Amino acid sequence: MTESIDIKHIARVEGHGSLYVTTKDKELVDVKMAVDEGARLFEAFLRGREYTEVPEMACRICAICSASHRVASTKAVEKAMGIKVDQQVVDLRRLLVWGEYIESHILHALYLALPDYVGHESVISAAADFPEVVKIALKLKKLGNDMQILTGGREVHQVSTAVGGFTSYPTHQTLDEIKERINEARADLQKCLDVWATLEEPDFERKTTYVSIKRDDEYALVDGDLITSEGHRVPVEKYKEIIGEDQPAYSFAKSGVHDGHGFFVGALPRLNNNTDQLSPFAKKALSQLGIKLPSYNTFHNNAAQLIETAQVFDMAIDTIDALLKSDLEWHEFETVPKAGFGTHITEAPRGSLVHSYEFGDDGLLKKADIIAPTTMNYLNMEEDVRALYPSIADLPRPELELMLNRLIRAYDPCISCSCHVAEVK
Amino acid sequence: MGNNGKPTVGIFGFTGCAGCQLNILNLEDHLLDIISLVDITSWVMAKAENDDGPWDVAFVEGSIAKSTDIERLKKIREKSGVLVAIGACATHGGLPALRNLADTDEWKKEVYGDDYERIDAIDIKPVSHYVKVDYSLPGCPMDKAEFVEAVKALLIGKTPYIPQYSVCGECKAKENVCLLKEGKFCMGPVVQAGCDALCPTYGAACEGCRGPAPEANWAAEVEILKKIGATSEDVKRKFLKYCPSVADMEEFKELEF
Repeated sequence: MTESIDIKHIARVEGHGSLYVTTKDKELVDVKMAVDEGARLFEAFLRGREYTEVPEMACRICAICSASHRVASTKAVEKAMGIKVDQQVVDLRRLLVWGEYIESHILHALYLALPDYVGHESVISAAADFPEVVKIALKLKKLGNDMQILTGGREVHQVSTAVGGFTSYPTHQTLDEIKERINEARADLQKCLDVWATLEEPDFERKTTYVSIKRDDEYALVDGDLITSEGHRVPVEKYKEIIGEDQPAYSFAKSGVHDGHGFFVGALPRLNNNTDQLSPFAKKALSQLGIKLPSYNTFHNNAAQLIETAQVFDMAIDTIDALLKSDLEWHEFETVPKAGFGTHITEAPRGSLVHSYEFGDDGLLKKADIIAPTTMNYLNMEEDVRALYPSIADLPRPELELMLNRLIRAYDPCISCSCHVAEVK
Repeated sequence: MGNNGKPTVGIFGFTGCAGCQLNILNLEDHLLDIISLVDITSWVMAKAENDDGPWDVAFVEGSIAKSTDIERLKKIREKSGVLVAIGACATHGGLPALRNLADTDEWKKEVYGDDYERIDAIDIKPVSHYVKVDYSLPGCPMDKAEFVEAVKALLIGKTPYIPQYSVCGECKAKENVCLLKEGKFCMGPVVQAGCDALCPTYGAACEGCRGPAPEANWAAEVEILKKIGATSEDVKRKFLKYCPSVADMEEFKELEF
C-alpha cells in the first residue's frame, strides 16, 4: 500500500518548510524536503547597491543569524576592496558573533528542541513543568542578545557595524559589566547541561560528510579555511570545490551537494572537525553529556549547540579581556571603493555561511553568491530521513511524524535563509 | 476569548527573515507576563500545536510575496477581530518589494537560473493592500518596545500609539550630533519616529526602515540631501529602500528629484 506522510509547515523552526515522504508497504519510496517560503531575490536586488550598504541589506536575509550574515558580508566586501581593520574592530566583531551564538543556540536547544525531549508541544507549555530551566533559558538568551546590543546596537539587524569598522564603540565599563554577567551565567548554563544530561537521545547513526571552517590556532567560528571531515581543505575563495548546489524542481531553495551526496553543516560538524580545539568549559560539557566524537548521530546537533555555548562563553571572556586592554577610542574612518572579488565564509550558529561578491570600480555590487547553511543541509536531511525511516516505520503515525519532525528540527533549520540557487556539481 | 477567558492571539509569518517574530521571542523580560495574559493559539515558529482560529488579535509579519500568500492572508483576516501588521515587509513591502521597481523576470533569472518561470514571485504590496489592517507597527525589524506597548493597549481596549512625527524629533531629544551636518545621507527628518532614533544614536544614518512620517516635509529632505552631495538617484533609492510601497503614494509621485 502506498502511503504519503506529509508534514506541512514544520513547526518550531524559522520559516516555512514541508517534508513529503512516500512509502510503499512500509518501505520508503521517496522523500522531499520542500521550502514553501516565497522568493525574496536578495542576490538580484543587491546588484547595483553601494558597497557600504550591502552588508546592512544582506543581513536581512535572516534575523536569527543576522550578526553572522552581517560579519560575513562585511568581510567579503572588505576583501574585495582591500580594506584593513584594526584589532579592536576584529575583536568587537567576534564578540558580536559570540553573543549571537549564545542567543541562537539557547533559542534552538532550549526553546525549540527541548520540548520534544520532555513531551511538550512548546516551551510555553514546558514552562509549567520546567519553570527553572525556562527562566534560565530566558536569562541566557537575554545575555546573548545584550552582547549583540553592546557591540552592534541591536540584537536583530545590527545598526553600528559598518564596512571598515563600527560607528560606535562600547566602553570599558560596559565590557566589564558584560564580562561579569558571562561569568555569573556559567552556573546557569551548567544547570541546563545538568538537565540535558538526563535526557534520552534518539538512537540513530548515519555517517556523512561534515563540513565547517578550520583554523590551526583556535576553534574556528568567524574565519578559517573550508574543510570536510575527509580532510579536504581549501581557502574560502575555492568554496565551490567542496560546496556544490542542486536546484530540486519541487522547492524554492537549492540544496548542497558534495561528491554526489549530501553534507552536513552546523554545530555537530564543527565539533567533529575541531574536537582538539575545544575550550575547558566545552570539554567538560562534552564529557558530561557523554557524546563521543566524531558523532554520526544527527540528533546530537542539539546537545552540540549547548557544548558550543560553553565554548563561546570561554572565547567571549578571552575576547573581552583583549578589548579591555585596548583604548576603545573611536575614531573616524574612511573607506575607498575599488573593483574586485571578495569571498568570506563564517560559521553561523546553524552552519557555514558563504558570501561571495564582485564589485565594479564605482563600489557598486555587480554579482553576489550567497549560500546559507540550511541550503547546504537539505539533501543531507533527505538522506537522513531515508536512513531513519526503517527504524521508525512501525511506530504509530503520530509518533512517526514526531520523529521525522525532530530529525529535521535537529538541524536547526533556518528556512527563510535558504532561498537561493546555483549549478549542480 | 479562549476557554480560559484570555484573549486569543495568532502570530503569523509570511515571506521574510522572521525578525519581527524573533523580536517577540526576544522579549525575555516580558514573555512570561504576556503568556499569562493572552492565549497564543497559533504560532508555528514557536509551537507545534496550532489551531485554526478564530483569534481576537492576529499579528502578521512578512511580505505577501507569492500568489498563495494572498489567500492565506485573507483567511487570517476573516478569522481575526483585530489585525496588526508588524514590520516593514508587512507595512511597506520591505526590501523584497524592491522588485516592484525592476524587471522581476530578469531578477528571478539572476537567482533561479533558466527555469525561473516556475518561481511564483508577485509584486509585493503592503498587507493593507489586500485586507483591512487595524494597526501597523513599522520598522525593520519591528521595535520590541512598541510591540509591548501595543499589546498593553489592545489588552485594555485602547488604540496603540504610533508617533506621527519624524525620527529627527527623537534624535534631537537625545542631543545627538546631526548626521546631515556631517554630510551623511540621513533620512531622520522624514521618517516616522518610534525607534527612539536608534541608528543615529549609534552614529549610523537613518535608512528609513519605518517609512515616511505623514506630517514631514519630504521636499525639504530631497533638497537637503542633494545639497550635501546626493544624486537624484541616491535620494530616490533612500526613500524607497525598505519601503518600496512609498513609490505608489501620490506625495512621492509629486516630489521633484
